[in-house]
Amino acid sequence: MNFPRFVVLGLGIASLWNVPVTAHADDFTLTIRDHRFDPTSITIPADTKIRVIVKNDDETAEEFESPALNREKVVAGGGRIVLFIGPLPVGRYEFFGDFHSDTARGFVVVP
Amino acid sequence: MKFIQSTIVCGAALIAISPASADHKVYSPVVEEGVLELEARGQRTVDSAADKNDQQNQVYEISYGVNSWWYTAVFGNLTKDPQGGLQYNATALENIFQLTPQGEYWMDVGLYLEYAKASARNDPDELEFKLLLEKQIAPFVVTANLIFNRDIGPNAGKGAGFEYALRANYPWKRAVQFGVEAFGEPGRLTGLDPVNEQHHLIGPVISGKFNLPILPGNFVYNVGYLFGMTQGSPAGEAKWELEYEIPF
Repeated sequence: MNFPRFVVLGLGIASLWNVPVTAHADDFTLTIRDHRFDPTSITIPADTKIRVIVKNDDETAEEFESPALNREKVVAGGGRIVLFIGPLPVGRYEFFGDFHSDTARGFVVVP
Repeated sequence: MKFIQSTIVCGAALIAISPASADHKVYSPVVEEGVLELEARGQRTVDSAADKNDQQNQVYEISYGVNSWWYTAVFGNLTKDPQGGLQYNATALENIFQLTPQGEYWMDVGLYLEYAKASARNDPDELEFKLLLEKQIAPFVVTANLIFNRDIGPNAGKGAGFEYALRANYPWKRAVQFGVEAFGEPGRLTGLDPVNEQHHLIGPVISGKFNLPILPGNFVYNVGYLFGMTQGSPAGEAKWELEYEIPF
């Protein structure tokens, strides 16, 4: 089998894994304002994928970061991003704004 | 800005390495948009046999997340054979394409494409394609790279080569995370090497991110020690990565 066929094979394998998960529940909105998250805590059901919209009302960029959630993404000033989180087991998962970590902090709580 | 320009010039000057040994880095399919990265990484074998000891591979790279799905980089590669000297081997252009929004589907998927231009006239260039797969199985993050490469040009080997890179990571803290990485080179797809001649290594790694108050941006590190699992593998290999990233 030659090299280009392996590229096609690889893409084919990748496509098998991308079955859209339609079970994710409500959207949650996090707003960044004055270098703080509002709300500071989001409570989500266990074992459920959720969609989080992060809006940045500040003029400067912020970076949503969470090692526990494996998420790291810059939100431009005045911009918004969409994150898919979960499904997660019971626990508290910290997130923070990397550019203003002293004030921009919060948790995703899975009771 | 001048610092960045100077860095780009220096990075572009680091060109020329013939791909002599695999680069033991596990790639995520997730692109960080708008982040400029300067990276140095390397690996060194440890073995009592002189023909396996002190084989080195070093990479010096500059990269940028152009948008939410495209990351591009240029790097220079130096290699050292066990009983030889360190030599500049190749210059390479690397691109990562994030194919799926992170977390939306069952697995995150990306593609890695690289072309390495050999510095020595009689060495072949190399085209490399990687399928990048990642999934969070909380609290762990599991990443797999399926790697296919092919020599191009003078003295090119026949057929496509197959390699793999795997990582399971536990993100304990931002600054300290624990993982296990594995790398393997089973051989060519036209005919794998006998198992005792294949290279397979696995071992623990520590990684994390930190920042220094005097500098903007963050430092990202990864250090580990891999153990050879086959007769053809070195007994051990020390690996390291250090990256400076800054929004740009």
